[in-house]
Amino acid sequence: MNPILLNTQVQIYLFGESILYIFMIMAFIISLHILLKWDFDSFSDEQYRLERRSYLVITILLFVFAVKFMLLPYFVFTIDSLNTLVPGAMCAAGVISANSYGLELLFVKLFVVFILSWWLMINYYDLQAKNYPFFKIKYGLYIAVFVLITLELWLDFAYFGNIDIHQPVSCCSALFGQLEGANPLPFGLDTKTMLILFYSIFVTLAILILTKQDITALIFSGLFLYISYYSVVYFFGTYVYELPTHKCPFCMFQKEYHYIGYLIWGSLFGGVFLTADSILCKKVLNVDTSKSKIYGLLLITVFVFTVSAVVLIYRFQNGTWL
Amino acid sequence: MSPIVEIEGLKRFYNTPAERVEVLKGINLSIERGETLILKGVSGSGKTTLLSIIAGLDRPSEGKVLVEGEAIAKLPDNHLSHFRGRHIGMVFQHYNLIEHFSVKDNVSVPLVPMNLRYQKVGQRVEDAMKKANISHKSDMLAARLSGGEKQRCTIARAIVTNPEIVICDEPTANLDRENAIKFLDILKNLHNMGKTIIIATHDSIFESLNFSHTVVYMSDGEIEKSESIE
Repeated sequence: MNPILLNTQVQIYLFGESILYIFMIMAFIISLHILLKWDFDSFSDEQYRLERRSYLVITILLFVFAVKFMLLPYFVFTIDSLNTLVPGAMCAAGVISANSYGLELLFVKLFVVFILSWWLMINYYDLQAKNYPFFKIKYGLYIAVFVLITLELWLDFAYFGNIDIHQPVSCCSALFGQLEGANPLPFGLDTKTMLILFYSIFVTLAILILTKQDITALIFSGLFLYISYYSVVYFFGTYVYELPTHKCPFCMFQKEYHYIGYLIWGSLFGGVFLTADSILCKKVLNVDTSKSKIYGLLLITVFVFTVSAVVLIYRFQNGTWL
Repeated sequence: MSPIVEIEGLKRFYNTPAERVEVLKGINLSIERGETLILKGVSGSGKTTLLSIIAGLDRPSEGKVLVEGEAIAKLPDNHLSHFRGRHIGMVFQHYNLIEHFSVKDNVSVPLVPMNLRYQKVGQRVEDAMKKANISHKSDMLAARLSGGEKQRCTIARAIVTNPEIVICDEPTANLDRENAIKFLDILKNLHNMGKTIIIATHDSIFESLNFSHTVVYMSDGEIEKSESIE
């Protein structure tokens, strides 16, 4: 048996994901039944039963989604902790690239979290009305989520089951250092231009959200996520590590860096996802989501202030830039 | 004017592994605004289940229940709680008071979700206690009240939100005759205020009600007969 599968944290993680999946299968079967038979205008025995089951499904999904949100940082923590088992790995960057499934799994996980948060928002607005107006969208989306989560679970087992502990991997120093001399930034940007873009897009996004220009704000939130990834890895991250050559998105999750990665990436993804979900909800459901957009903007602001503060604190403590 | 409560083909059953227990077997009932309705019947006839469904505390298995024109059985929980808080006051057989709260605090509990100003809450509580004739005990703990006083406290709590409908489940079951008669006086006041009152009881004291009301006789989950008494 692959020794990775004997690791306690991996076992807890896979066990947790599997249990949640069993709950989701139950919810999926009931959801299909509800979708096929639902007739809100009816006062029949079957319709009342479906309404009660709908509550059951919502309760199951709220529980499952809450645990899945917690399992995302735990997944990062787990792969980070595997760096002692995988030769060449010093952090999660090395472990995630131990086989071809790793990065796919990470992207699927992030996409699942995005869709789940959108589902939660639709559910919230559905229950705010008296007659379940978004019932079909909600259950239709859940069926799509279920397919995605099936893929995610398969990738979970494929990834952890195929990590070869005898095969050395490239970790952040090699992964991000191999471009030494070449420009790793997109579109041939230099660091200064990237930072100007980073802050400009943030300010523009804030203005777009506050002036309710939704579609443009949606495009800019995607752009901001893209530029933020590069800004954190190639600029702000180096100040977290206090080393200009250390360019890694994962090491900042470690204790040595006060687990600041959870705050940085959590506020970035949380803020962008919340903003995008709010805009999608407004466009699809035609409901007022201005409050949640403001919360999304607040989270993005927390992210910008956090990464900026890291740089400024280094500057004031050391009297120099990196 | 349309009835305040309209019930059509209401059934309530519970499925056990062995059998299906039918508690209500197709009730049809209409209650007019301001009407006082007494549900009579032996224990197990379905009175309390019917009250619970009208109050939105239970949901039907089948059939239509409209209260104030709203199909309450179909409301999501958050809306149902809101509806109950605004339109329905409940008087329970066992009072359901918070024993270590004072009378005043017990009466003010239904106003908490309404986010009223402190002054307004005090005014409403005072008013409700006066109507239920319990204001002289306002600072006493509920645990120290007698049965009759507890009942008056629950009445004050039921009417503090100024609901259109007051529902009482066996309200005199734990009262002596003297307190039961006092309870009838309070009922008369509520009736004069235009409240719709629905009472489930098997106490014969309600035969001495001296204002117009309707008596509905229930037996084995069905309405046997109903009569209007002027």
